[in-house]
Amino acid sequence: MEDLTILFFGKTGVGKSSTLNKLFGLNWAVDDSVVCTKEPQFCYLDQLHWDNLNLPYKQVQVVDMPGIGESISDDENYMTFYEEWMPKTHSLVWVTQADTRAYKRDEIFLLKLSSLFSHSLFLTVALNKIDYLGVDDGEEGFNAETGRPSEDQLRRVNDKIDDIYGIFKGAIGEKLVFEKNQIVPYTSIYGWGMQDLKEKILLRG
Amino acid sequence: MFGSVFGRNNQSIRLVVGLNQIDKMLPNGWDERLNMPDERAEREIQRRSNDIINRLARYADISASNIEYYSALKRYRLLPLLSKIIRNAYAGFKLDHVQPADPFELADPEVREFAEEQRREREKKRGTREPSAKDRMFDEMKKILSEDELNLILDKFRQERQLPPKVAIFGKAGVGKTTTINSLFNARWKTSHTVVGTTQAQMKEFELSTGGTLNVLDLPGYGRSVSEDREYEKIYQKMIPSCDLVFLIVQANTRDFADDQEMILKVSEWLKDSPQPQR
Repeated sequence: MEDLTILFFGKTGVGKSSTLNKLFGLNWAVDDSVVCTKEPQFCYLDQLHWDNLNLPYKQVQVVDMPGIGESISDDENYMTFYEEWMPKTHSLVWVTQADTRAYKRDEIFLLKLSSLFSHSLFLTVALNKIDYLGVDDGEEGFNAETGRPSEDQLRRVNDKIDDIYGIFKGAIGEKLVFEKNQIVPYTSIYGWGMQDLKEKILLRG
Repeated sequence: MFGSVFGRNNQSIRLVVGLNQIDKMLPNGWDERLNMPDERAEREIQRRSNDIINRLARYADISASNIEYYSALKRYRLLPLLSKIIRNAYAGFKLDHVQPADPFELADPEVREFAEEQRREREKKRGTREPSAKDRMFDEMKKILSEDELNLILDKFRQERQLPPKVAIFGKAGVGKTTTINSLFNARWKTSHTVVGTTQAQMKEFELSTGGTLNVLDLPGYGRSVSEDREYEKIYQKMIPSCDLVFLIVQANTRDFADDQEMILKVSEWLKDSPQPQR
C-alpha cells in the first residue's frame, strides 16, 4: 500500500476537529457554537507524526467529514461526500463522546453508511470526553492536575465500552470486523488515551 | 367551560421544554462566588438559548412561551421556568406555591447573607399583601355570575384541588432529570417508587416543602438506541395524555437536537389529541 487514507466522521459537537488537531498537530478551525466543517477537509500529514511507527506508507492522508445530526437535509447532502470518499479510505474513525447515554443518532448514521463498508476497512471508535464521564455523588471525577481519569471513572469506562459495543455492533453488521478493543477512550482536552488512539488508527489494529 | 377555567385557552398545549445545563455552555463563564454567569457569559447564554428556542419552536409548532432555559445544577432561572410550567399546566394554580431550591445557598457565604438580608427588607416593605390574581378573578366573577353558578365553579376548584398535580418529566437519556426534579420542586421523597405495569415508567409521589403532594411521572430517557426508543414510545403515548403537564428536558450544551425535535413533535401531537388530561 502506497498511501494510507484516514477518514474521520461523527456527530456534530463531539470534538472531531479538536481531536484531529491534537492527534496530528493540525490547525483546523474549532468552535463549539457553530458548525465549522460543511465540506470534507483533507490534508497530508507531516511525516514526523508517523515516522516512529515504522509504517510502510509513502503518504498519510487525513479527511475530516462534516458532522452529522445538525439538520436532516444537511445529512442527506453529506451522503454524496461519503460515496466519494469511502471507497478510497483504509482507516475509518467514528468519533463519539463518553458524556452521554444517547447513541441513537450514531447508530442510525452507522446503519446508513453500512452499505458503503467493505472488508478491507479498519474501523476505530474514538470515544472522546472521558474527562466528562459522570460519576456518582461522593466519587472522584477527572484529575485535571495529573490529566488522568480517576479510579472511579476508569471503572466505568469498561461499562461504557460494553454499552456502546452493544448498540453499534448491530448497526455495523457483518461487513466490518468490529471488536471491543476497537473502541478507544481518550480526552482531546487533556491528551489522555490519545497515543493509543493514534496507534490504533495508523497501524489499523 | 371548566377546561378553559383550568387550562386557560384551547390553543395552549400542556408542554414545557426546558433547556438544561446552560452553565456548561461556555467555559469559564460562571462566577462561583455569586453562583451566576458573569455579564458577558449571561448575554452569550441568552443569545445561544434564544437560537435554540427558535429552532425548536419552528420545528414543532410550539411557541417561546413553552420553552425556557435554566440550570438545575446551579439552580439558575428556576423561577422563570416554574412560571412557564404553571402557565402551561392544566389547573396550573395547584403548583403556584411551589418554591424552587435557593441558588444563593450555593453562593459564597457573604453573598448568601447579603441576598437574605435583601429578601427580608423586601418582605418588610411589602407589608399588606396585594390581592392575588386569583382573588381578583373571583371578584370579577361575583359580579357576573349567580350564586349557584359561582358555587358550582368553586366546587369544581375544590374537586380539582383534591387531585395532586401530575407532571411527566423526561428527555434524552442523561439530561439531568433527577437534578431537575430536586432543585425545581425542592421536594423530597415521600414514598418509594411504584413501577407502573411492566414498563420502566415510574410514578413518584413527592411531598413539597411548601405543603401538598406532587405526582411526578418519571419516564425512561429516549435517544439511546433505535430498539429502546421503539419500546419507550409506546409507554410515552400511553402515559402522557393523563398528565397535567409534560416537562421535556433538552441538553442546552449540545448541537444535536434531532431526537429532541422529533420527540417534541410527537408529544405535541399526543397532547393536541387530548386537550384535557385523561384521568
